[in-house]
Amino acid sequence: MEDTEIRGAPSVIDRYFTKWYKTDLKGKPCEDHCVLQHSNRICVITLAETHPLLQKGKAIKSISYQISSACSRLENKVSGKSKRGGQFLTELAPLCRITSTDGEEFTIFSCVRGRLLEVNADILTRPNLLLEKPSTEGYIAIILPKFEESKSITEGLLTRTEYEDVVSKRAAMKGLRNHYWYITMQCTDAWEGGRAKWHTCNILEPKKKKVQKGELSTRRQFLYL
Amino acid sequence: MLPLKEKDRPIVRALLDAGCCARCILRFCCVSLQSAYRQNYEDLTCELQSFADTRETSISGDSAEKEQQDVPPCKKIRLDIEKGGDEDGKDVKESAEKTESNICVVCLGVLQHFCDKDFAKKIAETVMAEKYEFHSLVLSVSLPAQLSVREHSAWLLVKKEMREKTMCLGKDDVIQVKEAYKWILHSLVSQELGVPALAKSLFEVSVGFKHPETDGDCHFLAATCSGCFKPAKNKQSVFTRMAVVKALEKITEESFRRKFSCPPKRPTTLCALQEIQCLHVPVFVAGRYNKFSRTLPQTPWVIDGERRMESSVEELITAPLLSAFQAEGFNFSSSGREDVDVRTLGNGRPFAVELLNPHKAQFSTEEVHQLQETINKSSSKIRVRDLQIVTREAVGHMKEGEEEKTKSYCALIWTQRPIEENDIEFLNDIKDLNIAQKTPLRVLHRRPLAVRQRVIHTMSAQYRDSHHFCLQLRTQAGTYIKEFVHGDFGRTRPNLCDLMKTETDILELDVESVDVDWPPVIPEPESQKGRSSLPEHQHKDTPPSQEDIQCHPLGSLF
Ligand SMILES: [Zn+2]
Repeated sequence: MEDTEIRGAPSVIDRYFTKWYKTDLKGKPCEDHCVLQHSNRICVITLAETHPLLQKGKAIKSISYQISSACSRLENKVSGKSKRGGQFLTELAPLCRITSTDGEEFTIFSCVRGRLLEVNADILTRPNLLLEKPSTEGYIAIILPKFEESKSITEGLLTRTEYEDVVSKRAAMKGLRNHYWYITMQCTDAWEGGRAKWHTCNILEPKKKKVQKGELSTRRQFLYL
Repeated sequence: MLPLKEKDRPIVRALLDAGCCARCILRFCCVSLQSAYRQNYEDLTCELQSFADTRETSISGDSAEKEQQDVPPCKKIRLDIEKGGDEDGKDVKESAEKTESNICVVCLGVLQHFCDKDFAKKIAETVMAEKYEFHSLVLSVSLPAQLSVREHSAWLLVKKEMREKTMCLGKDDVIQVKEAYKWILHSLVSQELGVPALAKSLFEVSVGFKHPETDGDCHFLAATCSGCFKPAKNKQSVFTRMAVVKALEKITEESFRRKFSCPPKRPTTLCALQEIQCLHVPVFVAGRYNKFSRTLPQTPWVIDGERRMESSVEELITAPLLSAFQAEGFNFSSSGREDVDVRTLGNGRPFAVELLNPHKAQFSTEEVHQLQETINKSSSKIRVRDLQIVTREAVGHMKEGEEEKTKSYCALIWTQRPIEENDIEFLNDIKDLNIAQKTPLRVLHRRPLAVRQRVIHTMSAQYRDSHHFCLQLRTQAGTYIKEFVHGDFGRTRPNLCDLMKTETDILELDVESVDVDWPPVIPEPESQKGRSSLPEHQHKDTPPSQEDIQCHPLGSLF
């Protein structure tokens, strides 16, 4: 990271945490989340730097941990070493909803299975923390995965490198926006940790070339923008 | 002459009839004259027999008549005893038919057959083979739990006799089997080993007995008092001695008599020796340690069953102690602890080691100092001072008031924003800063989530360069310094980032002093002054220098 050069040493996050990503949550373009997993398995859920809230210079109108009339993440309480009483979350459990001044609403999700330890009440009084320091003081929530699931909970997430790939491909396609394109990606034979490694990435204009049926077996995924 | 009174006569008779041994009878008659138990068993039996056979009217009168009556039963018993130990099946059977069995129904032979000079010799040999260094000893006896059931049964018998004679005696007045056993054995074993037997001896020899034949005796208690018998870890059977005694306190006399024979049934086998074990009370050794390495954990570091990092402070200190004291194990404790990447300088951190079952426990001041030298020569990563043998009670001083004590640290700080010398001066003026620390993320997986109020008493900053300065802190014990500096996701407030109005991070941390005035300082002997086993650079108790930063690859520090 650029910080490393200035300080000559890795930052707190680089020293203790592994970064994991989940992109386009619930199919919504660029709604990327970042999960910082500490070596002791605790996960800190944050916005990825590519999240629309951070990209478009938006201002925050409101943040709410009240995810339904019956459930508020703010009321989460844990006690004792075993953190009794904390809400148990699945990967797609909503953590909070953030509304920007232009009226757009974003839902932030848990991304990992585990017990909710705390949410960040500071961002309610100082929403700018979320925009200025999204990966530290502007964190969303802290989750403790089950001990036996501490390795498996990140299986469906992207590594930093994979995330950077996704981001650069997005950039490559930016100029092609407003058109319908077929993108075919060819997988490697092996799925590593539940994530495919892509050999090739072809962006095809549908009218120019039709995808042959025979190609479907090796070209496993079709996306369009 | 036995200290028995007229009132004891019916009790003696009833117990003799029930198959009780002479020493158990003395116990039930509450005889507390120790020498009575040490008498030769056969003589004692004869004497009791004659006491029982004497007609009440003649007790104070004609002794000639008494003696005449004595002879035949006494001979009979002596014969039985001799044959009891005989391997010849026919003879034993014959005698068993006559008197059923001569093994005591209450003590199952413990007070008959394990109380002589031969058995004391056997104990002494076992002890000598263990090669302990000891100056006195105390015996402890572990008896099968069913002995309590049998004792209770015999006690009910005694009570019945007393009720008829309107006497009153409490069960507590009865001499315990263990007590009587020790009265006899202590002097015998003491003679064999040539050291006194003292109740408060540091060296314990425990003798354990078992009697499989009657293990079932206790089982009926489970039905009447199930609450007393809960399965416990590391116990093979739920029928522990404690549980059985508790159940016997609860059970009614009627209920007991219905389920267990009173007097107890005669056994056909003798108790067997289960084990003779030696145990020396732990020795506590205390001192202070310095840790000069940023890659040395305090205790062995194991993750997922795999060893991380070679060695540890604990291992470096305890290895020479274990071998010198020939101890079987240890418990290491200290006044707080430092992270693997933190050095502990200054006078060091107080620690104590409990050495379990040491075979050698006496060391002179010089020998202890020599041990300290051995530890210090074994590694340059640590250094020990003030090493001394202390009492268990004194170790408490190390932990008491630990929270109130202050600790001094020195930290190397990085700032994101370039700084001038005067940018950090304001830190020197901050006094008794109250901070609120949520349980740091790095320990949150094993500690409860809480917000703790801590005080940073003073800070003193020394400028290094445009992105670095040294910060000395004196804080309340229990303050998380690393989190105070980097803020821990804003979970410590205020933090140094807040104060400096820029991102700050901690690159190195040293503990400068742990202000616990225990253990007492041991002055270095004259001959040792100025002599040291450590390379010069290891003595540097100063804040980390720029060289330190360069020679420690930071990636491995945190
Ligand atoms: Zn007996």
